[in-house]
Order: sequence, then structure tokens, then C-alpha cells
Amino acid sequence: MNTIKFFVVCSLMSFLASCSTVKLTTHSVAYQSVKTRHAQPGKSFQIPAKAKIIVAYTISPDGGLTAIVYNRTPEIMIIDQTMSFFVNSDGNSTSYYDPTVKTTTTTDLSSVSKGASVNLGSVANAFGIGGIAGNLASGINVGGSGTSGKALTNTTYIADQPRISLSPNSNCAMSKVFKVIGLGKDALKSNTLQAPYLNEKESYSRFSVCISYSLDGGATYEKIVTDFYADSMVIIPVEEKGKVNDALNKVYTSKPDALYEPWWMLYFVNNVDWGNDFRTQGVLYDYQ
Amino acid sequence: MKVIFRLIVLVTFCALQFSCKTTDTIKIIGTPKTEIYTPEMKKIATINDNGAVDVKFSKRTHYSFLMSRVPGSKDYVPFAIDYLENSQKTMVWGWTLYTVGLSSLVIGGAIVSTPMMAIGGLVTAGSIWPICSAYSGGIQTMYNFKYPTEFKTNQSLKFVDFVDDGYIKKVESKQDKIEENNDVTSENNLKASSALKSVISLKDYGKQIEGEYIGSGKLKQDGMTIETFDGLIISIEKYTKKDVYVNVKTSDGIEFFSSKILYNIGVSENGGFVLSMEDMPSAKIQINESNDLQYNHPNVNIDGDVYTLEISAVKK
Repeated sequence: MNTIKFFVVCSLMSFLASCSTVKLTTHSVAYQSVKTRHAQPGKSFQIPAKAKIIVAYTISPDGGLTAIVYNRTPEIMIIDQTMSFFVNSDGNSTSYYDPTVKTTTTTDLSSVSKGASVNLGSVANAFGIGGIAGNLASGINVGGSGTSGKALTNTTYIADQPRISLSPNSNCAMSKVFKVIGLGKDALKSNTLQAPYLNEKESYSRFSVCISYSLDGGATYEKIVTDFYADSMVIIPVEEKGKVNDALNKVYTSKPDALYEPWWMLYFVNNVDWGNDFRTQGVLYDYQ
Repeated sequence: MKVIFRLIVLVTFCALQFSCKTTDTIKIIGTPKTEIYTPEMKKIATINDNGAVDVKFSKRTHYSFLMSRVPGSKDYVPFAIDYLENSQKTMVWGWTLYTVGLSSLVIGGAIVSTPMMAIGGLVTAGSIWPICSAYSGGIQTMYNFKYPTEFKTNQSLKFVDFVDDGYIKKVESKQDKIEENNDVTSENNLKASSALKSVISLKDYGKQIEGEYIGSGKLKQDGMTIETFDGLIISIEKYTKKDVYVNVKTSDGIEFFSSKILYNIGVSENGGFVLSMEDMPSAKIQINESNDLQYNHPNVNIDGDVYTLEISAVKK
């Protein structure tokens, strides 16, 4: 009888052991990049010192677009969110002020470990002006309700304000993070496009942002419109199980400038979401 | 019976000890002094002078990729982490040995004293669930994979700079506009006051050189001609008085580049023009007084390879 119990227990445990796991499978290595219609500041030119407004855009690994506005003037800048819009790649336009749309978004604006980070060092380098890095790094004000003068590691904005005031030489994150159709992990999982170089007409994702601002107390408003488009998507299947770097090498071969696009994302499409299987890099700037 | 029982416990203990290893040692091969980073940008190793470094990977974490950076460079280059399917036999045997050990404790009838239970692993508060079980393989055991013994970085691959073909935004302040308005003169103003400065406005070079140029070209690599083309069309389109957009097409209308490229116009000493790209000073177009055009672009990417494109053309 004891022998029978012994074998029953062993068999049961062995059975459970052999049925209990999911095999890791990396299906493909995916890459996409985004640029603006205008040239991005960098090595060849910098944002002119007389620019009065600079907007830095970051895109999260889930395709969330965050806009951070920098007031480069000695005046108070008023941003009118009712006249500021995001136009998605399906043509739908959403105002930054919409009291019917409540968003609970967490934007990690200072951590370097997540794709949504601003990477303020890049912002300072693009400006190319000495002494500005300290000002930029000192605080991000979110909408009209954030704190000032302190760097925020997590920011949740759940209320809208029609107008936001920015003090001289300060900055602010626009109130909403918009999910761009065609960008992010979900888009890369479900697509098989092989396009290392796309122009704007050919792009699968074209979107824009319009921000209205005033420097004369709200008497007149100007607008800065930024047009973006995804200028590549390369998805290489992992042909031999486990040989992921071979697939990544094919991405690099297909697009040798992959690591130097203004914004890009690399995603290792697994059947298990590890949370560290992607890399995003870059900030997109507009200025006026 | 006691001998058999003790033998089973001993074998179980050994199996459990073997499966208690919590890290794998992996060799990473690359250029000496290359730094290795996790996706979270934590530096974990530097490649030694012999071109390799051993890195310990915890069995409780998984990395789809790591990054490398060569000394003196600001660029981090991702390289993927390959994996192998892990055999289930080790895991099943581990469980079997473990359960045999456990069963023998139960089948024996009496609860074995604490020292014997402790052999199977760490025992806390009287619990018989060992921390060091067959699942000490952690994530690797759960998802049935293991790492190869070595990886290579991707630093040896050829990467090229991104060429931004977007237009460069100009910024004009209100003061600039006021000054510009004050400087603009007309015949009437000149007649009105001889003391006014005359401002000569720029010549419209953009309009002067715009048009289509037709000729032949070569694609070269490492000094060798790879391919020749006849009937190439270079379209020059005025953007401003001193900037133009340039597009290159084959005789079939196929564009060489994904979009037109902005060039700045300069005047050469012999009376012709030199067009150059801000992002790539080595890419030049020369147009002489007879409207003969010489085109040179040293960084044309076709199917992942970089070529030099040279074209000789005349204005249509």
C-alpha cells in the first residue's frame, strides 16, 4: 500500500511539473521611427537663440505622445488649451481642453529607465546654449495644477483647465497624453510592414499637434503647429528559435541609420511581457 | 529500509543543491573596453583586453537585450539576448527526486525530526516547503529556456548617420521684421532722400538655377563603379532665393531618395554656383555658367549598403 502511495505521489508531481510552464518564444524584432516634417536640431544646426517657444515631444513605448512647452521669453506665456489640438493619424482631432474626457495618465518625466522620459540632457544639447541645462532640469509644471520648482517623478493629471500660465523662462507639460494610432508595442505586434524609409505621403501614421499661446496677456494668440510622421517600420521574424540577435542584425542591415533617427523604438515581441523588452530613444522638437 | 530511506534523502539533497544555482555565467565578446549596460541603463561589465568578459545573469530575471558602448562614443548599441529551449527532463527529475524525498518523509509514518527536514533546504517556522526547490531555476525553469554560453555585441556592424531631409525652420522675431521693413527702399524713397542707405536685395539664385537637368550617373563603392545610369533627371525647385529642393529620378521616373533634399546656394569664383547640404557638407552640386551640372553625394543608402552617386548633367 505504501508503495502504491509512493508511486501515486511521484506520478502526480511529475505530471504537474511537466504541464506547468509556457515556453518563452520571441516571435520577431520590431523597429519603428518618427520624424517631423521640419528638420530636427542636432549636429548641423541648433534651435535659434531668439526662439520664444520650444516644444519637446516624447513618445512612450505604448505610443503615448507627451508635449512639454518651454517659455523662452521674459513674458508670461498663456497656453490656451481650448485652442490647442492633437490630430491623430485617423484624422480625429481632440482638444487639449475637453471637460468630458477625463484622463488618468502617469507621465514619468525624469526617470531614464522608461520610454516616456524626457531625457532633459537631450533638450539642453539641442538648445546648444550654455547654462540652460540647469533651468530645464529644475522642474516640470504639469497643466495648471502641478508644483513648480521641483522635478516630478510621477505626474497624474486628471482635470482640465482652459488656460495655463507659464512664468518667464519656465516649462509645462500639456495636460493630456494622446495615444497615437500606429505607434507603440501594439502596432508592432500586429504589423508585418517592411519599410525602412518612408516619406510623409507613404507613412502609415501621420499626426500633428497645434498649440496656441499668447505673450501679451491673452490679447492675441499665435499657434505652433507640428507635423509628425512615422518614417519607418521594420519587423523581422525570428526564424530560428532563440536566435534573436540574428533578427536584430537584419533590422540594422535593412536600416543602418536606425539608431540615429530623431525618435525610434526597438521592441522584442515575446509571448511573455517582461516589461524590459523595448527601447525608445529620442525627443522631437519644434520651435518658433 | 532505513538505509534506502537515507539514500533517498541524500540523493534528494544533492539534487536540490544542484538546482540551487541562482545565476548563469555568460561570456560577452566584443571590442576591449566596451561597456555593457542593462535596458535600465545600469552598467554591468566592461570587456577586458582579451575581448571578452564574464557576466552573471540572475535566473530570476530575463533580458531581451543589453546595450554596448565603445569608449569615446555617446551611442548605445542594443544587442539581443539569444536563448535555448531548456530540457524538461532536469526539471522533472528534480521534482521527482524532491517528491520522493517528501513522500518518504510521509510514508515513513512519523514526522521526521527537524534536522532531517532541514537537509532538504531552509526550513522556517516549521514549514517543510523548501526555498531551494526544483523551481530555484526561477524564470528560466518557468518558461523553459536557458542562455547560450556566449554572446557577441553588434558594435562591428556598420551604422550611418541619419540624414534629415526636412526643411530648417527659420525664426524671425518681431524686431527682425521691423528692421526689415525699415530697410526696404523703393524708387520713390530713393528720390525722396539722398541720405537714405540703399540696400541691394539678394539676387534670386533659386529662380536662376531651377529646372530639370538631364544626364548620366554612376554608383560607386570603394572607388569601383557598381552601376551606371543613363537618362537621369535632376529636378531643382526653388524654395527661397538662396535655397532649392533637389530631387533625382531615373529615366523611368523612379526617385532615388525618399523625398527631395534641401540645398543652400553659394556662388563660386568662376561665376557658377555651388549647392551644399547643411547636414552633409561633402554632398555638393556644382553648376557652371553654361548650366553644366556635376552632382556628388557620398552617402547614398541602397539596400543597406552605402554608395557614392556621381552625375553629370546639362540643363534641359
